[in-house]
Amino acid sequence: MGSENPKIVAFCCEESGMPAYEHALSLGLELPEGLRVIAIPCGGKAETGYIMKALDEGADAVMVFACYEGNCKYVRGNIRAEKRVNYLKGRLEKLGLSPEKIVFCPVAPANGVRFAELLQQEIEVLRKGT
Amino acid sequence: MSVGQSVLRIPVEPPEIQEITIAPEVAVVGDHPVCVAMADALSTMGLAVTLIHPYESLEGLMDPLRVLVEVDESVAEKYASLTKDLTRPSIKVVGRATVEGIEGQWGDFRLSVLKDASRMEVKASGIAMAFQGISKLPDAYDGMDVIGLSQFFSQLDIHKGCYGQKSESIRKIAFVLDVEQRDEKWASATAFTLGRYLKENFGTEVYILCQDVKVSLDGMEKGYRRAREAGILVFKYEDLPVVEGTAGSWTIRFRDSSAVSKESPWEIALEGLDVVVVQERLRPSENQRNLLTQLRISSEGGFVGPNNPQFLGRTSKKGVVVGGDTWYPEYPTEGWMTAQAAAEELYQWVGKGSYQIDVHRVAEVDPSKCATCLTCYRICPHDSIRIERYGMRNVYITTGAREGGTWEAARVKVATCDGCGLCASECPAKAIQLIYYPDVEVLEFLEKNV
Amino acid sequence: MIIAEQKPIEEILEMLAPHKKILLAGCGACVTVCQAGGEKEVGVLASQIRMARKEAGNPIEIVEMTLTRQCEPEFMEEAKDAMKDVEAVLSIACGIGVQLMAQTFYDKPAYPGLNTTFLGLPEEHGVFTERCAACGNCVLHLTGGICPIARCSKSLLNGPCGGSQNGKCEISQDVDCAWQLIYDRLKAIGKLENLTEIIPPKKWITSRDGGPRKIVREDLRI
Repeated sequence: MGSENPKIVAFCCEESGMPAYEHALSLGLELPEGLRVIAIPCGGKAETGYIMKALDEGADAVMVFACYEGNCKYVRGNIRAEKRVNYLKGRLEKLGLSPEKIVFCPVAPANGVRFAELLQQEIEVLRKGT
Repeated sequence: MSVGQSVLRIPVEPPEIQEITIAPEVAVVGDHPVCVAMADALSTMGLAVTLIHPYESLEGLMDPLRVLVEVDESVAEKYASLTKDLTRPSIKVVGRATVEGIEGQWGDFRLSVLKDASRMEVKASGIAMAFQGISKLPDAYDGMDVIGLSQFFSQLDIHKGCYGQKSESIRKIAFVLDVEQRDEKWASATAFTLGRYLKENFGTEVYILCQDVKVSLDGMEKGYRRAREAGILVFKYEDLPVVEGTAGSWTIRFRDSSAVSKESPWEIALEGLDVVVVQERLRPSENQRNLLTQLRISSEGGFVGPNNPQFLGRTSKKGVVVGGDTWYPEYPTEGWMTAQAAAEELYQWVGKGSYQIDVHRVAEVDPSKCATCLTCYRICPHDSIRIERYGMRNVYITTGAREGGTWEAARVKVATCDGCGLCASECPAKAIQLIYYPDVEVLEFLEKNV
Repeated sequence: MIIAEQKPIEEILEMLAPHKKILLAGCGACVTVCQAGGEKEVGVLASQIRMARKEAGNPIEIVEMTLTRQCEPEFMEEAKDAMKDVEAVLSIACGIGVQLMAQTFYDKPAYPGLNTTFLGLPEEHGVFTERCAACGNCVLHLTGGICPIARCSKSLLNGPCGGSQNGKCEISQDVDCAWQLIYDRLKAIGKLENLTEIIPPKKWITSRDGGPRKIVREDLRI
């Protein structure tokens, strides 16, 4: 990660991730320069193909923001997302890349503060890794 | 938002509306007393109701509440009038009947019903189900002659305060709660309510042993206080209480760890108990399992509630709601509220006459790529995908819809699709796209903006 | 169906080391169903390889495509144009597909991206187990529909052996004893007496042991 502004692609579900992002904006919280937000109807729509493409295109990290366990409006979308992230972490490791590049982040819709915190945490993790 | 940041929002396009007409008729199915409450609520809202239950009469259906209706005024207030009022023309009652199979979807359910050894079909636009759980004594007390809480009701004469064949009222009774299941509030509420009733009316000595006191339901805080004031003794145990003896002369030994004696728990023996009532575990009944499986409704341990705690009565399947133990074992006052919520939810699905479906906000399968691997069928949380003519489809033939031919692949049912995109992301052949948000939107954004 | 799983990525990268432009070819049949080589996996694997090569300072260009299936000569046409411009093909079809690609595009290397493992089915979604050993001489009618060749670790024809404990095979608690399953099934269909008949030693000549197999149907030949 050579640049000051790591490129972070955040997939945000319509029910929690996007509201948390909007909340963070409305609170005037500072969000990372290199943030790219992609809205999806459910965490379960964060496809393995999308995540790998994002990394392939040069993203330093991909974060999936979805609902807490038991809260998914579509019953199991958040669980699918978490399983995919864990699976892809394994594949990244075998490639010799850091599994920290992909993270699954459950978040509540009215928690813009946590949204911003999680982004910051990931940036710290990436910095330590390089 | 500064220069480096960018956002891709879900495309908002004018909806493409298809109108469907839904007939305002529902089926209420089950063997739980709240079926009556649900049927009542639904018909009050203006729907035509078919109530399908396995008993001789509605009295049979309400029987499990017979005791609590007399003993607890908050239960009486909700349930006492129900059987008498349920003779409206808009409610058709089908007794001595069980539902063996359900097919179809919201707006078009077909129930195959076995009544008096002959089969009939009932059509409904929506379904409300409520079954009773099957009781099983905790393994620790299996083989002993202790009584399960739900059995206790059926043999309790509340006018004389006596149990079973006895003619004298119970002198000493102990309720042992929380043995295998600590989350069920119905047992606590029942024990405290019944215990207080016996104490106040018959002078019965009542002991309640539990791991924690659960009073977070309507009226139970007061109920608990009344019980304590009436003189019921409440103990907390950590290790399983040992029950010895026989009916009429039970002894329970345990260590009480309630606040007073936490550091040095007291060794307690309760002797000369006439009756020991144990909280049993309620398991989903065969009927419940069968119908939930057929409808492919997600549940946890066979109960729908834990999966979806925010929306009482709602299931993952459009047009189907549940109550009673099918939702989760509840005390009748809570169960009544769940039943009302379920009825309201069902009314939203069925009562408006015509519904507008945005056929744009759904997923679509490309039959020429579909390998009929069943992944989408299995993963869809709303059971909204069918494999059409899959029996005649060989997985090795991947060309699908031909001119004038048939679909021959997975197909999304537009009316019940919620547009969540799980199918599209799980499909190993990339044969499914969300019409309103295809892959290309995301992939192009990534190419341009990362 | 044929069940396969992706080779370890290190092996794949080693195969591709000398190349700068390849075709990554998926297959729309069995490997799609067992989630190892369909169009979705083509996209994910391609990204993975590109990233690994970029990281190593040796970028690679990957043309992505999924054929209808890679076991029919006619479908090889689908890859004809793409193969003209690449140095090699990494096929994530089963072993059959890799070989047909190698045979069709004779002058270019064809690499296997998968290990074709067994013939089987999903016990549940995402869990695949072996069911058939393609031995060429099926005895399922004698064993209540459970294959002793594929499902018994020792391929016993007259089991069980002494290692059968509580319905499990001695090699692992996760493996059912096939002969326990056979016993239970024969009991359920009222054919336990089958077990009193000794199944004679298998003629393995119909299996792999007899050499590469071939079936000729004169009635079908054009």
